[in-house]
Parts: sequence; C-alpha cells; structure tokens
Amino acid sequence: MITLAHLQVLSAALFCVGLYGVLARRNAVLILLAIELMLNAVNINLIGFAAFVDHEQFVGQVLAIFVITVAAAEVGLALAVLLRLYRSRASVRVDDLNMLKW
Amino acid sequence: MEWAWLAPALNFAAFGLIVLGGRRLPGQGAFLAILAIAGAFGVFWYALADFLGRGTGTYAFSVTWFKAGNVDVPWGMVLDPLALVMLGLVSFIALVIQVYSLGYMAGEERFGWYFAVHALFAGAMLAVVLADNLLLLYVAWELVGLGSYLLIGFWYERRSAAEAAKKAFVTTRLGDVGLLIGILLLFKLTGTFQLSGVFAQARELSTGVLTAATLLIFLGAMGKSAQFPLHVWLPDAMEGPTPVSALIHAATMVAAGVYLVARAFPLFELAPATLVVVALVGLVTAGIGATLALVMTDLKRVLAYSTVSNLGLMMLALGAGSIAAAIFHLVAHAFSKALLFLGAGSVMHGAERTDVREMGGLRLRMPLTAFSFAVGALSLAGFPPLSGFFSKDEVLLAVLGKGGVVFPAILVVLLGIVFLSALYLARALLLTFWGELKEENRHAHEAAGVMAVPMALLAVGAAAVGFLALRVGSLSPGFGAFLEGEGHAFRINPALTLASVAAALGGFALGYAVYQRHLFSPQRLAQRYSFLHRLLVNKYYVDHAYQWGIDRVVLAFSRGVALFDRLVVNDGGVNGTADTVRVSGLRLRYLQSGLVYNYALGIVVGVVAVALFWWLVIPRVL
Repeated sequence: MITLAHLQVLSAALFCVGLYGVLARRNAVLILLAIELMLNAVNINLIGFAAFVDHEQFVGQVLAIFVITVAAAEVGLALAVLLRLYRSRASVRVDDLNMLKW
Repeated sequence: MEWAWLAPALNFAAFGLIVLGGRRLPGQGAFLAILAIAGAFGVFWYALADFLGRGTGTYAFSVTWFKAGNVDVPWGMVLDPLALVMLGLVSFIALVIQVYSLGYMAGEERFGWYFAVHALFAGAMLAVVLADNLLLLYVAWELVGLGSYLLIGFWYERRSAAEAAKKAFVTTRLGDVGLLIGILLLFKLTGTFQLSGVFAQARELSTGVLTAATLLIFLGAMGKSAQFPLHVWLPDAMEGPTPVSALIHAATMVAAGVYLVARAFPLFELAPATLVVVALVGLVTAGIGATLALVMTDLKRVLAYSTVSNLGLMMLALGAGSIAAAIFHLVAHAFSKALLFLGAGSVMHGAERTDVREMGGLRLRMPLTAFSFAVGALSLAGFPPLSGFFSKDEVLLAVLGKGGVVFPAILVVLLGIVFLSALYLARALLLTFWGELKEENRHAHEAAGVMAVPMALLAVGAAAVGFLALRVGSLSPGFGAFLEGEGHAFRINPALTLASVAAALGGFALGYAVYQRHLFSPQRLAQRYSFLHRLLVNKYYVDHAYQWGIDRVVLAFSRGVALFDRLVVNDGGVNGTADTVRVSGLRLRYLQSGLVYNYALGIVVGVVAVALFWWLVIPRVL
C-alpha cells in the first residue's frame, strides 16, 4: 500500500539528487538536467498531495502541468543560450564562465 | 490717509528701478530716488492736512499677509501723531540729504547704486515708522540694518570702510537678536503681532514677564540707537560718505531705536524697572558721548560722539516717561545734526581734510558753510531761541518732573553734560572755522549751489523747529500736546531754563577762552591729567574690551568648535562613513566569485538557514 509518506520521501530524495547535481556538476548541460530532476521532484510532491488530500479540485494537477510547461520553455531557452556560449567560447564548463566577478 | 503705505512703497520701487535699469537712465537714475522721497514727503503733508482736518487720533488699516494654522498675520500701516512726526522728519531729512548728495557724490563711479541704496534705506525706515505690527516692524528694522551696511561700506575698496560696515552690522545684530526674542515672547504671551492687540492685553501680563520683554526690545533699540555698550559702531560709521553719516545720525538709523521705545511705550510704562534701566543707559551713554567728543580730532568723529551723547539724552527722556520730550529732541537734534554733518561734508569737499587741528579760519573761504555750521552747533548746544534750547529744556523738565530719588541726581549730571556739549561744539566750531587761515587751506572753496541750498534749508529748520513746541492759537496745539494730547503742552521752569542756559553759555565761554583766546593750553591740561586723557583718547577702552572679547573668548571658543568639527564631524562622521563603506566594499567584493555553483550554494545555505529559523527559533521565542 503506497501512502503519501512514500511519495514525499521519493520526492525529497529526487530533489536532493537534483540539488547535488546542481552544486557538484561543472558541465552546464548536466546542471540543466539536474534542475529538471528538482522540478520533477516538486511535481511528484504536488501530484501526491492532490491525490491524497484534495479530491474535489484539481489544483495540484493544474500546478504540475504549469511546472512542466515552464520547465519545457526554460530548457528550450537555456539550451539556446548554451549553444551560443559553446559557439563563442568552445566550452560549456561553468568554471570557465567566471567573467562576472570582482 | 489710507495711502500712507505709498511712502515706503515709492522708495522701494525707486530702489528696484534704479538697480534694474540705472545705467540706462539719465543721471544713473538718481532723480528716481529723489522723486520717491519727495513723494513720501508729499504723503506726509497730505496726511498732516487730514489729521488737522479730522482731529488727531490713530488711524490703522491692514490686510492679511499670511495665515499659518490659526495665526493670522496681517501687515498694515498705523498713522498716529508719533508716526506722522517721524514720517515728516525722515522724508524731509532724507530728501534734503539726497539733493545734497547730487553735488557731493558727483563723479562717483557707483553714483546710481548710491541713490538706490539711499532709497532702500529711507524706505525701510519709513516702513519701521508706519508698521502696525511687530513682525513687519522687525522686517523693516533689518532692512534698515542692511541699508546702513551697504551705505557705510559704500567705498568698500577701502579696507577701513568695509570693516566699519561689518562692525555696524554685527553690533546692531547683537541688539536685534534681543528684539526678535522680545517680539516672539510677546507673541507667545498675547498670540498676536499687532501692536494694538499687544497693548490691549499688556495689562493682564505679569510685571516680571513684561520687564523681560521690554528689556529685550530695549536691547534692539540700544543696538540701533548706539547706546552704551553697543555704541561703538556709530563713530566708525564715519567711513561712509558724509551725507550717509548725516542721514544715519539724523533721521534714519539711530532714530529707529528711540522711535521703537516710544512706539512700544505702553509696554514700557507697565514695567517701571525697565524704565529705570532705559534712563540709566541713556545717562551713561550721554556722559560717554559728551566726554569723548572733547578729545576727538576728526571733525566727523566729534559730531559722531555728539550724536551718541544726544541719543543718550533721548533715551533718558524716555526713561523719565516723556515721549514728547524724547521725540522733540529727536527732531531738533535731527535738523541740527544733519546740518552739522552736511557742513562737515562741505568742509571735506572744499578743504579736503577732516582733522580739526589742520583747519582754522575756514569761515573766510566758506562763509555759508561756516554760518550754517554755527547755527547747527549753537542750536545743539542749547542756545535760545534755537531749536536745541527748547528740546533740551523739555528733556530736563521730563527728568525733573519724574521725581523720586534717582532722577534729581541725574539732573545734576545732565547739566554737566549740557556744559560739556557746549564746550565740544565750541571746540569743533572755533577750531574749524575761526582762528588763522592756514597756508595749505588757501585753496578751500565754498560748496556749489546744489549743496548750499540743502544746508540753508536745514539751517532754517535747526533754527526754527523749536518754535513748534509753542501753541499757536487754533492753528497748532504745540508739539507735546499734538503728540501726547492735552496736558503735555510746552511749559517752562524758569530756574531750570536759567541753569541750562548758564551751563551752555559757560561751556561755550570756556571753549572760546581756550580755543580762540588761548588763555590756557589744552595740551598742558592733557599732560597734567594724562591718565584721564589716555582714558578718553582710548574711548574708555570699550573697543579694546570688545577686541579682547573677540580675540580671547569668541575666537578661542571658535577654535574649539572648529577642532570638534574637523575631528569629530568631518573625520569621524563624514569621512568615517565613507571609509566604512569603502573598506567593507573592498572586503565583500570577493564574495562575487563569478562561479554559478557558488551562488547556488549560497541560495541553498540561505534557504536552509531560513527554514531552520522558521521551525526551530520562532516557535521557541513565541
């Protein structure tokens, strides 16, 4: 029997994996993938609450669809930016992109 | 009579017009100033006719100036006999002096500016005279101070003139601060600036408060009217052009203080302690002026200390409770002193020197000047039937009539001052115009017509103004009665008159014996009593005391404040703030590593910290 707690643990674990990826990875594309993981962790949380707590309205589902839409747009934009970066600097390593500093 | 406001307004307008377009106007616009002051004189005659037709009384009219909360400040004019007398005096003297200035200042670089400031000065004084509320009076009062500053410092290229102007301004400011506080105190107590309103409520105020307020107002009068110890600026004001001295000494600047006390007299009356202070300050001032005038060698300085002395007499009369005597002496003195100064100006113009020791015999070269100067000097010395005789007797009578313990004693001193006045005037007159004509003065020449006519006019005034005191049938009630109502008519105390005339004659005779017949030498006297002589030549060390005070007290204090400013305010406050921001910026900028994952870590740590705070700290505290 799957309960809300199971879903929350899954969501939290996924979020932490994503967070680790964002902090530890040096490749910009992989950081983007990690961000997607975090967004999906949030989606699982939303759907879980929608299924177990809220039976009348579809607030959780609607919000999840919003998140998916925004994530798709964000990935499209971010990949375009990365493509331009790669063209001009021949690298997508975030270590190399440190010009905006003191 | 409703048009009285025109008198100052015309002069302010003349000031504005000359300043804006003076260079393009013929004669640099001097005629505008003269027309304006002549207009003010016309207003005086118009108002006088009205007065004689309608009977004396107080006519006031005002409009709202501004409202602040529930305080309504109007500005307006009040015309009563006192204001009317001053209106006539100021406009006439200023008119005569401006005409004289046409000749005296001819060829001057800033000819137009001179007349512009003259108009401003006269207009401000007229506004003081006519103002019906204390706030407007104070504004005009400060404008008078500004006018005197600009005129005394007219030749500001000369360092001494600039210094004298500054001294006059600062010294009178000392008094003005008192006046301002006094006005605000009265406003706080009565809720109005209107003179009539303040007077109406004065009886309900306690004597202590009234004494404080009147003393503060008197402080302002002391500054402007050159009363001891604020008299030091007046002799230095000689640095201005001579007609300016005539104006300041006769009608405008110094008259303002006497007028202020007379105007606020309903308050002074209720504060007997203040009246005694006024009388004593007046007496001390009169004595100081009369003794110092004896030893000054600069003709204008002699006249300046004579003014100080006479202003003291006016204050003394006010202290003795007689407005009529004070204002009458003010008028008589104004005519005589303006005449004397114009004469001195004519001497400086014709003989080009100011030291009485270098003059002598000038009557042979400038007879009209000599004659009018003699009229002024004799009038001021109190010779019958010239105007000074009448007015000085009025002052003496006022003091005698006051009674009590203090005032009879004052009377004796006063007769001594009358004696000294005659002596120093005889000295100035004889040393300048009588005796041998010196070789280097042969080129001296009489003043031209435009300067001679004003002197002649003033000579007639100085000789005849005294008769205004007398009742002339139904035409004139006499000066005192006109000013203060019946019961203040002119009267004579034969014994007192005899004594004062004897004192004046004695003084003059002594002057004649010393400076004309050389019966004994003033130099030997000066040597024998060298201590006294030094005291007088150094002007009782009052200037030294001020200098000491400025050097040792004001400057020392200022140095301390400057140090505080440099170390605490500047180094600590201003530069300290800037340094803190700069140094912390220098340290903190290394947080901007430019690496995205560092920022991400910052966000994570921040979120975790907020979350911990939210769950762990806040529930405990609440």
